Amino acid sequence: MRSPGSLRVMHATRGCWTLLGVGGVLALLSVVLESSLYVIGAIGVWAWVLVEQLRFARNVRTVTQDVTVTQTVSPGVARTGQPVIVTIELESTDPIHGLTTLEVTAPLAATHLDGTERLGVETTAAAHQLSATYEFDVTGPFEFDPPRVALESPRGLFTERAPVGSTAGVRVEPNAPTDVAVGEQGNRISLGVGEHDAEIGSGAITLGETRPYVAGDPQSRIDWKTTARQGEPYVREYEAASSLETLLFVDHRSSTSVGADGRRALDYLRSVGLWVVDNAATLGDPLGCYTIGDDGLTGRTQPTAETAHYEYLRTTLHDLEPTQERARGLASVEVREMQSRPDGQPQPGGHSQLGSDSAFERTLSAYTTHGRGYVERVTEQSLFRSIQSTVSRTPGNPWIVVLTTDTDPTEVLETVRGIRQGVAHVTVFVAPTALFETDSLGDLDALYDSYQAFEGFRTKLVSEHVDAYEVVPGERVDALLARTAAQREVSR
Amino acid sequence: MMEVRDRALAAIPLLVSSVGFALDGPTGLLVGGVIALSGVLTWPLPFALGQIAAAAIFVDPVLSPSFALIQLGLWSALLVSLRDSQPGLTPRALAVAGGFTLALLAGTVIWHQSQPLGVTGAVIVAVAVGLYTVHRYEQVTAGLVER
Repeated sequence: MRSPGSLRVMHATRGCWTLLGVGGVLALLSVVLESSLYVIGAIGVWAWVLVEQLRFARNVRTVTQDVTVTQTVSPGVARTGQPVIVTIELESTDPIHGLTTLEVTAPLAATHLDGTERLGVETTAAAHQLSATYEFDVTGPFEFDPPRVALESPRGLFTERAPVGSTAGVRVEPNAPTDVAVGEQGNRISLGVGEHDAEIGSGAITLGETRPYVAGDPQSRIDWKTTARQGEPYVREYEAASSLETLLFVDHRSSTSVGADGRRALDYLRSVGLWVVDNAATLGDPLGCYTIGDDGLTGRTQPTAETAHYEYLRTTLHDLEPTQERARGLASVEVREMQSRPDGQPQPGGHSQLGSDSAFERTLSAYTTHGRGYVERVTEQSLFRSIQSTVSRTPGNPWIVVLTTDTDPTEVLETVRGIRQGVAHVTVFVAPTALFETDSLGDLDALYDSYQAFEGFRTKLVSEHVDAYEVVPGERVDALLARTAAQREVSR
Repeated sequence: MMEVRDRALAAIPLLVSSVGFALDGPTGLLVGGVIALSGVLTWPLPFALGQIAAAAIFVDPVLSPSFALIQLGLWSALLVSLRDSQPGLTPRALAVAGGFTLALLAGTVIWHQSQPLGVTGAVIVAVAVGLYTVHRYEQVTAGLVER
């Protein structure tokens, strides 16, 4: 049996109870006055109500069983925040009698945006339709229960709400890319969480086994002796004997906003950044994170290896949004040495924006340090200057991971050249902006040329003795390469 | 609600019952007029008023032709008042309801004089069972509950 709360049973209205009461009064009179005529009147009234109920029951059956009800949800797979349209159609060969309302039964997670959730029906017709728009803020599979109709008997003695038709489902996916591809010129590599590259660490290095080269392996790992011996490329695995301090630089300047909502370059770079955090957490490596906006550093988190720290970094990455394009005429260098910490409090000894150490200032500082302001401003080449200044102040021999786009290749090259001397290793993940532009698939040749130019840039980076990988929308790159190959095949 | 045409149709047998009242004398004439005017009320209230009036006026009703005319008019009006533009009043439904009603009426006429309380109670129980049966029928056929 269905849960009692989900549906109301056939409801006798006040008019119905009034008539039953009239019959009751007649029956009472028949007993009091000892006259059968009153009870005959009662029988007539009650029989009349009974016939009305019988007719209504038949009409309810007709509507719930014979009327064709179609409920559709479009699209079937949606992203969070994306409008989902629910359409309900009632169709019958004969006019549908007694119908008063038709309503959507939306899941609790759905938020009504537009359209009619509950359609009031005032005329008898053979077809009715309603359409409503919803959005979901949470992900997962959701089901719209069968639509409900409300029916009323011809003289308003009975009402009923009943489900008609069937359920319709929608799967809501996060508004984040699901096809993040990291690799080289269309060849994917596995980022694989496991042993980190000990070659780039400052701790002890243990030489591991050699194995055949596979696409995506860094050239620097090729073991030339084994390669010469075997006649084919071999790479050597390394294992780290100690933890590896990692500095993660995430570019979230305005140039990373290229792409459709939820599939911007920043969204893809964010996925790689989250992988870096997960990997560091798995290995217990100290990880620092530096976020870079158009005007300089927007966040600075010193490397530590605490569980809460990794969680804080994940939140930081999830919250990143592209900054606004640089405003001209800023002061040359405005450095605000305010350390961002997981607890959100300013670093002791740091200077506040308010410029004094009064109690008033200390109270307000907790609020003024929140939000994504700048912790260090520079006038130009914010990526280059932010990374340079940070690395120069960092002791030890860390692994540098840079997530950026190819908007300014020269700046990225200069950045890499400037920092690779003083660190263990540099890995750059670059998102080619041409592949994120929404209408880029319109001109395949131009897009392919852009992609080739990007590959040239990536090769240049590799020649600087760093690992450089592309971060691309996998589906789009696959489509581009497949269509380009097909076109060239045809042209031959 | 009843349409004007249906209400007009129900008024004809109601007028017949008013004539029955009028045949009983001046008081009946007055009552008949009131009953005729009660046709504007929601059905089946005119029927109930007519039965109350008949019970008040006729002491030994079975032998009176005017009483028979009143009952004929009232019951016909009750039947006509069920008529409207909406479907559902199938011959089968009418037969079931009619048979049920006739059975109750017959039992009442036969046994009410000797056992008024018992018969009235039996009628109430029978009607309650009938209403509940139709209610369950509606719930099951609409898929709201399992059998």
